[in-house]
Amino acid sequence: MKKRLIIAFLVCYGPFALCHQTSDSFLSINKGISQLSDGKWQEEWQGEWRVPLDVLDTLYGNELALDQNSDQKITWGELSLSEALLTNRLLSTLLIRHDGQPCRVKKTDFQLDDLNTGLYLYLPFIIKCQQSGPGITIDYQLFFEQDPLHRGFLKFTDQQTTSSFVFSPDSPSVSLKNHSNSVFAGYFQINSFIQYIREGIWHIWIGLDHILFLLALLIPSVFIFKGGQRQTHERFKPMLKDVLTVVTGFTLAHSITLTLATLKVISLPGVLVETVIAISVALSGLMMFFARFYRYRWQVAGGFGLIHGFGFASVLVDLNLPLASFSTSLFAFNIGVEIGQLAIVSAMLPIMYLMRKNWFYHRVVLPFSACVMVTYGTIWMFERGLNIQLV
Amino acid sequence: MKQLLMPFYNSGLKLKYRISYEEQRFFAAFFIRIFTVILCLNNGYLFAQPYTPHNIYDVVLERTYPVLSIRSELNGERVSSDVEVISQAKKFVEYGLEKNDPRYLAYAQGLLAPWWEQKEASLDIMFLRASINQHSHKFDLAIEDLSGILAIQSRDVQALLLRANAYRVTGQLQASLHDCKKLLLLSDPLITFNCIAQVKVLTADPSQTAHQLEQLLSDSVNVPDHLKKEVHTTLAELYQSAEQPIEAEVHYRQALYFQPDSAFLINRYAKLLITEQRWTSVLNLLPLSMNGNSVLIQRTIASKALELPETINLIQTLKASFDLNEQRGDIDISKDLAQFYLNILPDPQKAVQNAYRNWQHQKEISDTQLLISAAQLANNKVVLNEVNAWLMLIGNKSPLLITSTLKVALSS
Repeated sequence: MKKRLIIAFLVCYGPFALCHQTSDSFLSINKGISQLSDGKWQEEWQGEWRVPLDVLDTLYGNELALDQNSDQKITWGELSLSEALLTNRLLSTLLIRHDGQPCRVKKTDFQLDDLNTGLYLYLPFIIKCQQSGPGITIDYQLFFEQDPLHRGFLKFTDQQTTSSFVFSPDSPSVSLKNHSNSVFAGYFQINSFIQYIREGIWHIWIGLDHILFLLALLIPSVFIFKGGQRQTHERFKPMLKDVLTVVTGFTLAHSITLTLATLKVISLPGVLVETVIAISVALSGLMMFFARFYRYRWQVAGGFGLIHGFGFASVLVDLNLPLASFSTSLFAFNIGVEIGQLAIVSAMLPIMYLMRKNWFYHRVVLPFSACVMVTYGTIWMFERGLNIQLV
Repeated sequence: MKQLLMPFYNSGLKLKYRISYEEQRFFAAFFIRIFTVILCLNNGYLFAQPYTPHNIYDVVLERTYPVLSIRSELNGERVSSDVEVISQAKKFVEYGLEKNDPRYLAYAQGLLAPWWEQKEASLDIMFLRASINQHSHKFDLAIEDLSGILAIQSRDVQALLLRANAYRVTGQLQASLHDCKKLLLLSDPLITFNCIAQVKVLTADPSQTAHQLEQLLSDSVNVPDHLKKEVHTTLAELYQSAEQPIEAEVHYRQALYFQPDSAFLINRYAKLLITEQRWTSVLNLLPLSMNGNSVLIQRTIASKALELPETINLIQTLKASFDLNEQRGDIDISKDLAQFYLNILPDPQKAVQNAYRNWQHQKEISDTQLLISAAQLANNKVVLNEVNAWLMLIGNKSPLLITSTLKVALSS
């Protein structure tokens, strides 16, 4: 009776400041590629599932005996010991079918992930389907029996689109259309090669950060630091040599990391990559004010080019290269990036050469461009690093 | 710093031109500062990645919460008895209400699923169902269950107390007072008068009611802590309604003494501090560990007033949270949205729409004041007239609302 009285009091004072804690899980499914033992590339669906750890323990903790020594504390060791049981239990609530045929879900080691809303169990897995066709269906049943307010947030990414869906007890299933039928074709066409070149060109043209970084290194190319002073190149040849050195440094560096990242040999957090790219824009803009640093531009281009390569790679991952022609597609995309870059250089070089002795270039173009680079670089740095919107 | 940079300056690097110490310092200082600011503010976001703890003895969870102990067969069929299931549901409800964590109420709802739609359920189940529904703002369903209990047991103190509260929150003050008065012969005088005083926040001189309640509290002996907390909360609200913020603050502090982590109390106290424009006190009061919408709103209002750089981040977090709530589609957040559009990103139309939606089912003093402020900002006379008519109907005597309506009248 006393307990009921406390409940009555708590209800009277509790409900009007809903905390909005939820037991939601976040499921993300992307199309990717993996290398087989014979060196061939194979397409696969990769999944990532984040499930709130305290909810998992509340609802499955006893059933799976997570707290093995009953000390009311769950250690990483205890969690790891129950890994097989836990992942099987979770994956039993997720059924993925391709054209009606169940797909095989291959789990990999789970980890932890700290999100704003708490600590999550991070479960990466690979989905292997027998059928190759247009439809994939996901049936989701996690926690619905125990928690009618539970929701599963799905993000599904294939070659061209990203879609989202919210699983609830009323809508526990979703059929998603795979937009990339051509990927299953298994052969490479010249049209695809051109398409990937276009993607490369398009990416560098729409990537303002890459363009600004390149311009910050190109604009000072008309100058040379000699005798403690900034002087102008008299002839075209040394200026061209200077430009080619910078562009080659950038190209070599980003090609290396672009390839390594696309092959998943190296992986860096996307936010870190984007933030360092922003820093590279700000720093190269700042360098424009100091003529004595001009000679080190190729080193800067090479150093930061490595990071820009990771930026290009993130786009390539989104594009999901066709596995049958992975290396050719990667090559085509890289050619596209170089063509886009070369187009910018070709357009800039004659203008720069013609204007090199003009006061306008010295007093307006150079300092104004430098200010733009530093401003944009700094804004992006904060926006990307802190996940905020400044402009 | 000089020592730090000198090795590079004097290094064996065969640079044709040596970078001067001043230049090094300039670059280093510029980027170190920016990096420091980003690292300090980003809250781990920059490097947010899944990880594997290094040590198997690292504690990843401490069970300070109840866990589901209902046994099931392999085919998912329950083997626990109904009594065990109901007892587990009760534990979840108690914990969810104490911590103001709606997840546990949902787990309880899950356990009660076999009886959730049943009209003729046991009194225990009806009471738990009413508690869960009332917490989820489904007041009509809660009142229906409570009336069902009272039809069988007219002297059920808990059901009377809960129904009085549901009537009061939904603005049915006469019905609420009626239920409170029924408690007179059934329970402790302090419980009864606390119930009546809550209704009188609006319908009588709140200052006088507060003095009477204070007197009764000091005359009572062996008052349990949870009741003391409720009485201090009522006193704080009475004083706030009487426009006596100093006294209100004293009672919020006393109530918090009995439950320092109560999100409800912290929110109410923060709102009082906001009306007093004590921005730093608001930020000091709100624990960083609390990240519910209401707490975030109070923090954002204070941050905005102090022009802190984190305001932008807070607004983004709130927007993301509202988006998530909208996608979930099952949580009523109209009060939070009204406050957001009133105080944070002013949009009078959206503020009044949401405040009005909230007022349709919640007519406490804070809901009414929120609607008056939003309607005033949007210059929505239809809504203002409706609120005024309702205040006349209930015989409003709250100085706080009288001042609010007077301000509106004078400004128009």
